[in-house]
Amino acid sequence: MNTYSSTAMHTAPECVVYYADTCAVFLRYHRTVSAWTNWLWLPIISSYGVILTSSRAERTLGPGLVSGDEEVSLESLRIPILKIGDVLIASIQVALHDASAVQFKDDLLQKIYDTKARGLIVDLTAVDVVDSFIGRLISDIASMAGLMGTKVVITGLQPAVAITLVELGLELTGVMTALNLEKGLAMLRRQAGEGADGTG
Amino acid sequence: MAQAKVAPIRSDLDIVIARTLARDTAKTLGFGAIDQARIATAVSELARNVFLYAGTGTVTVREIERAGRKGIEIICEDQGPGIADVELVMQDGYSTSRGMGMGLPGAKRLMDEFDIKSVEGQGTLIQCRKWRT
Repeated sequence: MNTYSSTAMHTAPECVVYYADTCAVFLRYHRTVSAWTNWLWLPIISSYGVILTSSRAERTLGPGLVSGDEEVSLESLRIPILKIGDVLIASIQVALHDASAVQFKDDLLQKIYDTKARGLIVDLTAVDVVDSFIGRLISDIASMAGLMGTKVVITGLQPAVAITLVELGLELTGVMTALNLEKGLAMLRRQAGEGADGTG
Repeated sequence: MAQAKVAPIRSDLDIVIARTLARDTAKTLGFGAIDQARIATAVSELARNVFLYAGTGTVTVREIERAGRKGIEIICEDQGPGIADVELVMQDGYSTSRGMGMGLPGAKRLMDEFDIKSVEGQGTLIQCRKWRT
């Protein structure tokens, strides 16, 4: 993911293609002129042919995937937000770095606005580290979504993460939590029921 | 004893790489799941401080041994602006940036030993250890 390559990787294939094409022209020319020069050109062309094949493969993947630069990593780290009824569910399955975490927050709030979701569940079952940055982001998501009228439930905190959060001094006060996704959904449903009773 | 591993910090992505390195090393050394999370979280806080305040630096992770007890040592180094008042930043709730003021005191609580040296205008060196129970 974090392997940086020089820009040479992007420019090299073009040179190789050009070189191989030139060689091919040469070969065709030499075939017509004299057959014996073929042995001279074949190894050169076949060796470049290997590079040519790999460079073509890289080109079909696109330059970004070859270089593995940050922009691509960011894109691949985008967390899907699913909608079930009027509840949004986002399950974090990757180690979030700061930029992707902020992107996640923005995506969530936009999605809440677009879908008019009543509830949001952020599932952290697969998350093994919650530091102060991510911790603060979670409280921010809860308060921001709260301002928009959407209830947020955090589910699936691992024991080690819960212990670390409290020891770190982050208790996520004011954030609703549930043991797992199922209980989180039930919690939101119950609250909706109470809300309906209150107004009805 | 295994060789020390160094994770350079240049971007927020490197924070994730540094804490993964620390966690993997802790796991290899036989630390339990909760201690692994403590160590990874502490490294995350320290590495983020390097990135936020100094821009670049290094996190070194190595295996240590004292009186037959195994442990892990994290050394966090940068040539950034340094900290004017170390005691102040070690207080809970003190923050100069977008953090929550938990970074350094939080990391200290998560580790067994914590030592910080800082010279204004020259940089900061944080050395912390956790021993296997």
